[in-house]
Amino acid sequence: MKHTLSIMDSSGDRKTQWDENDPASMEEARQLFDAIRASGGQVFYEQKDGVGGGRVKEFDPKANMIGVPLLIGG
Amino acid sequence: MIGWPWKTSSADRAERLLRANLTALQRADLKEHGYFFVTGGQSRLPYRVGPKKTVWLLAPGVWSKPAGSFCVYPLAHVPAPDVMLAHALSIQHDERSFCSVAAFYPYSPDLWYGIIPILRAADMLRGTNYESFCYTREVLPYRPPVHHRF
Repeated sequence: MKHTLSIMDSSGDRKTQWDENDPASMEEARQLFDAIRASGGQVFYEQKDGVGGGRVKEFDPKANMIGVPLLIGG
Repeated sequence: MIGWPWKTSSADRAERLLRANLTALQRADLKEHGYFFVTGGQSRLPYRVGPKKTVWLLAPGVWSKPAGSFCVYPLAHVPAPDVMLAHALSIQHDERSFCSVAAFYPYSPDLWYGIIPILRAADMLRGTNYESFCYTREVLPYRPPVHHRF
């Protein structure tokens, strides 16, 4: 089953998909996940019609996620 | 679709992602008004999220004007709907971080005084310092006028 990590960027969002049974694609997604967290960003579970959601602290290969860039006050 | 003045294909993509993550009621508000409401995940306070980098904190029952606004934005060039989604997700699921990074500007002293007990209660729940929640971090030396203090 395929899952998606949507990372917010200037194009709207960049989607990275992986298959639970494909370690290579999953590793690529995991690296992107780690890169977001390392840059100070947050990752949240995707919500279906506002239901579900939550902050993702560790890469979850069985979930659809959204990467949010670092938020700063101004 | 909303009439974003800067409508582009990237904004289209971002708006699709935003809509997919909202409730039916939030989508209706977004379509009609260009903003929607979310509830703070920890404080349960109401916030109004619009297509700007400021998010209104509302006094319960008073929807037309803010008790204060949080100014916070992503450190990346992203379309407005992405900013709204970032605000909404952070408020719902990581309110403490959202409040701690945001600069907070209290409005309307009458509303502000009314909301103080609520903010104090929320701050007790957070276990944080009330001053640090209400005002801002050391990077922005904003302080409210003296008559806002209590």
